[in-house]
Amino acid sequence: MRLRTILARMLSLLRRKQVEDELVEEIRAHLEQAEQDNLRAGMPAEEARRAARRSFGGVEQVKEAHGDVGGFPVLRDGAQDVRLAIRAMRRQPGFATVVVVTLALGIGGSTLIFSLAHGGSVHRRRLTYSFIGI
Amino acid sequence: MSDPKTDVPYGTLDLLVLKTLEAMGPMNGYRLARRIEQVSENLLRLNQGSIYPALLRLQQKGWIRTQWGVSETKRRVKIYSLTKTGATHLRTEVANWERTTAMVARFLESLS
Repeated sequence: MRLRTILARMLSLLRRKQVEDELVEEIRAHLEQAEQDNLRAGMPAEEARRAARRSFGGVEQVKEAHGDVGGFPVLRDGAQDVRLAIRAMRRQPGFATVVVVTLALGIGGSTLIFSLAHGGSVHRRRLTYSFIGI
Repeated sequence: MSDPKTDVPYGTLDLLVLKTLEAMGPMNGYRLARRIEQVSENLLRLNQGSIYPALLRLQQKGWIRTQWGVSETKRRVKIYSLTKTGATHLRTEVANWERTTAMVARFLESLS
């Protein structure tokens, strides 16, 4: 059953736009039916619409929760984080440059030292397995 | 004293949805939410909208299926119905629920 859920989520991911459009349609239909029931129960038009929205709850929250179930929220949230990060970096390019240079020096330097310590090239060393014939 | 209205945890909402579909047949999202509200005599603090993520999850698990239909307001809507796997799962969950409730009741009684 766990596999089924994973496959279903992958499918939802591919149909992401469609899934969201369908949800929006369903929500609209829901609110309409609620409004109609309220009108039938004798509420005035404006009250009927407001009461329908109120018993529904927050639409954005529903979309958010729905998104958490379909697809893989870690991907969606991750992509959102990347977008925010890029926006923040654009706003402060000086700071961003300092961070990037520091990271580059750190990673580059560490790799260099590591390579030197292992006799020239990291690629030259091969991992050996004494068991099986892999 | 605790609030008589209770928030519905996810697992319980699943159970209510499956049971409602079993007892009252296929219906669309709005009807389902309304039925649950009515049957629970409005004791559940349920935002009707929260049923949609639950329905998607149940669908992914294979316990319910959807078909396209038309609402009373002439809009295209999804009609949800119970699958065979769903019916089996429901039976198991109800049995678990009854067993747990009985156990807790017995426990509370023996200590009072």
